[in-house]
This record gives sequence, C-alpha cells and structure tokens, in this order.
Amino acid sequence: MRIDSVDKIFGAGPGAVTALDDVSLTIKAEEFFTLLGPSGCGKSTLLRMIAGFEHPTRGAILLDHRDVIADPPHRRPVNIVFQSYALFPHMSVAENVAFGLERLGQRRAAVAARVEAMLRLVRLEGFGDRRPHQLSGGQQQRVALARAVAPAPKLLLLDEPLSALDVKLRREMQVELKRIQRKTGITFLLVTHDQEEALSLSDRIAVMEAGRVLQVGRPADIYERPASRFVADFMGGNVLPGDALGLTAPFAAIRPERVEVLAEGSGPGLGGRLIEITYLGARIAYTVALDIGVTLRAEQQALPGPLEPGQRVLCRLPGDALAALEA
Amino acid sequence: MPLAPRSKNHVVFLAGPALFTIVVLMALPMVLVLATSFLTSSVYGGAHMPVTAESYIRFVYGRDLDDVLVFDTTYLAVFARSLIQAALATVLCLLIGLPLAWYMATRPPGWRRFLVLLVTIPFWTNLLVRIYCWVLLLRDEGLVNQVLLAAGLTKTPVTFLYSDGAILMGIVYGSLPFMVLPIYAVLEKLDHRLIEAAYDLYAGRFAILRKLIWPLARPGVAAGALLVFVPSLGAFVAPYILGGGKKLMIGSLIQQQFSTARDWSFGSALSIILMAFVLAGLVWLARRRASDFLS
Repeated sequence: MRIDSVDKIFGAGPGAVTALDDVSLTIKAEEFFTLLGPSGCGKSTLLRMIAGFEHPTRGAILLDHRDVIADPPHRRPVNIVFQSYALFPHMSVAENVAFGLERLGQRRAAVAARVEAMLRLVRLEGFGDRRPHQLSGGQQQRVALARAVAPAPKLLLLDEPLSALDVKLRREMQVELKRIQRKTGITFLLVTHDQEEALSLSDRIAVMEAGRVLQVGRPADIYERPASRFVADFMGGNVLPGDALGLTAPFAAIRPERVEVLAEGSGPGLGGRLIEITYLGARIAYTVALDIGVTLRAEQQALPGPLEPGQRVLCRLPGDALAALEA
Repeated sequence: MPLAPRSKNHVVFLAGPALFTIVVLMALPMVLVLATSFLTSSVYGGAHMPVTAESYIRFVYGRDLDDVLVFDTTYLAVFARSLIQAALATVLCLLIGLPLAWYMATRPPGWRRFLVLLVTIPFWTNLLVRIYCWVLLLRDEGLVNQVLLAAGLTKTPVTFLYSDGAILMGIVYGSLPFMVLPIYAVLEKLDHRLIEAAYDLYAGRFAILRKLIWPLARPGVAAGALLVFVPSLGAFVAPYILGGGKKLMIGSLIQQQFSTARDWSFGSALSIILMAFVLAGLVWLARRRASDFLS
C-alpha cells in the first residue's frame, strides 16, 4: 500500500482549504499502521480517500502496485470500521456481518461459516440473531469490526473506532484489536488522536498536522526521538531552546519522566520555581517555571519528597535524554 | 375558589373536548349513516321506517319485471373500478413519489425546507378548484392541445377529458403529496454513513437501494400508500369533474345518492360497505405486520 504525494484541496479560489499537502506514505503488508494527529489534521480525509469516498486533487494511491483512485469504494479490497459503527439497524448481527460476503457473491454455506468464524473471532458467539440496538456500545463495536474483517480485505481502515467507548472498555478493545490483527494477518490502518492508543497498538506511526505528515516511525522513535517541536509537544514532551542547554540545535525535546527535579543547590542544572505538584497515583507531576522563561513538566516516582510548591528547584536534564530538534 | 386536586373532575374536564369530538362529531354521524342504510328512503331525501336490508340487497341484486332478485354486477363493477383506480393511483404515486422524496431528502437542509414547502403549496387551494384547472388544461381547446397542435404532434385535438386516464391523473395529482411527505420524513432521517458503509462493503447502487434504502424507507412507503389508497377509493372530486360523471366511481355513486338520486338509504349502505371493506383491509394489514414483527 503506497500513497504518493497526495494533495486534497476542498473548494476553490480564496476560500479553498488544503486538507492534505503532499502526503506520501508506504504501509507494509500485515502492518499495524497509525495516523496520529489532532482533529482537523487531515488524517480522516486521508482514510476516506483510501476507502474511496474522497478523490485526491493530485497524487496516486497504490494498492498492490495498482493505482486505485479510479475505483469506487465498492470495488476496492479495503473495508472500513466507522467511528459511529454504522451498523444496519434493520438487519441482525449475523446479517450485518454477512453483508459484504453476500455482495461479493459468496455461496450461502461459505457465508454462514465465515459469519460464524467472525463472531467467534470478536467473541460474540450466540449474538447472531440480535439486532444492533439490543447490544451495548462495546458489542456494537465488535460487530462493526467483524463486518469489516469478514471479507478479508487487503487493508482494514479504522476511523477512531474506540473514541465512543469508556476508558476501561477502550483498553479492553485495544487488546482485542491487536489480537485480531495478529490472528487475521490483515494490514490495519488506524486513525486516532489518542497518543497512548497509537503507541500501544502500532507497529509504526505517522504523526500528522495541518495536512502534512511530520514524522513516520516506530512508537519508540516517535516518543523518544521526535523530529519536530510539534511532534514533541503533541506526544506530551517538553520543548526547550537549544542555546539554554548548550546545544547547537535551535530546540531540544525531553520526556517529562526523564527530567529530574531536585532541591536547589544539588549541583548543575537549570534553575526554576516549582509552580504545581500533581499527584497521579504511581507518579507525581511537577510543573516548573524555569528561569530561562520556559515551563517544564516533569514526572517522577511518587516518593514523599521534601519539595513544596513555590520553592526554588533545580532541574537536571540528562544529555542522552535530549532530542535535538531542527524546527 | 382554590384549585383542589379533584382528579376525577379534571379528567372529565380535560378529556371533554376530545370525547365531544369523537362521540358527537364522529361516532354519532356513523350511527346515523348505519341506521339510515337499514331504513327506507323517502322520495324527497331522508329516510323512514320500516327497517329493511333492501339497500344492501340492491348492491348485488337487481329486480326483474316480475320482482324476482337477479344477480347484478353494475355496482360491483363500480366498486371494482374504484379499487383498480385506487391501486393504480397508489402505484403511480409511489413511482413518482419515491424518487422525488429521495431527491428532496438528499439536498442541503435549506433546500430541503424549500422543497417541502413547494410540495405543500397545493394544499393552500381547494381541491375542487385545482381539479377544475385540469379541465381547462386538458379540454379540446385547452393549453395541452394547443401546444400539441402548434408543435404539429397532432392534427386534431386529442380528447383527454372524461376518461379513466383523466380520472387517474386527477387522483394521482391530488394524492401525490400524501405519498411524498411520509417517505421524505423517513428518508430524511436515514443516516448517510449507513450508505457509505454499504458502499464500502461492495454494494453497488442497486444493492444499496434494494438492501438498505428500500427496507428502511418501507414504513414511510406503507404510510404513504395507505394515505393515497384509502382516500382514492372514495374519491369523488376528480371522477366527477374529470370523468364527467360518465365513468362512475364509488365516491361519485355515493354522492349521487344524496343529491340527484335522493336515495339516502342506498347511499348510506354504499358508504358502510366501503368503510367495512377498508377497515377489513386495515385489520388484515395490521395483523400481518404484527406477525412479521413477532417472527
């Protein structure tokens, strides 16, 4: 699956909005790939374009080395799990899952067997005769997943599939998604704005902003070695001016958990005033106003420390934890 | 006077207008019609004793010169014609109304409101006037014939009026909004993402229509069909004006009994037969749908 310098411009003239700006990506077979970015960054537009609901203004979308831009959605070997699930309300769970298989003209017996297997895959055996409205949100999510996986697409698109679920259910479904992806061997392309979700599920992540892909990499790369200030900030990191740290790069990023906050006078480091202490359970978050005019966040093991809000502190930033940023 | 919670009185007070409407304005006239149908018609209108089933017998039997009952299909034929016309009108309204409702429901919201307004405009004028306009359009010297003659499509004026086709057209014209609006109401609520989901799952246009839009639109279609079929069955304005009284339908037949024929008893009997027929049909439909729902 390859996306080649795709542009998407909505409208024309001075009111035109560029949703995608020269986006190129390559997604490998059987990969769990995630498009991560804030709302309005163009990730959903890109997903809809791969499904066939939007046409690129420029560029190509190749699936198995073939440009599929001219193909309508029902001719693309790609299925989508909608954010709203979009289950057919007048059909039973089994009929929903069978829908794509029947449209592909599979034999009745084969369809029935596949539906059975899919319901087992998403752990909904025995729910085949229910109607969507009789299911909980999490169960509906599973049906939507089974329906999209059933035709064994080359690529499965997931449009913020877990955003409607509560936190506990979301964690469970994340584990389920990963399990189903491994079991079926289908390439998954997930769209999300949840960094944690992207980090825990993906083989690779593309961080997007304002219609552009800023960085593509493994979760650890994105997390530890952000390529730009936006990525560092979006992933929850601190961004500091390089000269304050004695670096040649204009900026540097550091994860909050790599920052050490100590009482003043404990050695070299950046001085500042502790503004806030937030108790997070296993961790404690400190917000420090550095003397160089930057606010720094730090997270440490929740040990009963001698630090008090308002007091002067010293922040130590280990050299190996700093990621130099060019822009 | 304090407003004490005397619930019983309140119930009577609140239900009063509704009860009055149902009992005095609906049930009572029905009872009167039913009673009249079993009486003997007076010569100058009205009805008197004795009680007789003669009006019902006359619906299916004629009397020959020797006063012997003979099976007579005159009125049954009128009834059958009405049924066929109403059925045709319903099908035509559906064929025109479904695409129209779909078109309306898929426009942007502002456009939608405007289109709904357009569909309801005919209700602002009396049906009688509107049907009479069709006479002006369709008559031999009418606009339609003038256009056809000017275009050279015909040498002599085409006679449209006073035919079954003209009646059917009049009924379809008058009933179309009753088909369009319920279907539109259902389609407007249809979630566009469902269509995208079906499209994504290898359904082409035809499959989407058959598997998704049609099943979801069916309640609206059923309501529309009922709203068109039942009034069409008893329609009398269009048959009277566009049919010129030559092609009798049951509505005109009933109207005649109370005007020119002055046979109130027979007119009442016809009304009761029509009503019983419609009611039986509705009960059958309701039962069938109930069993559909349970299975």
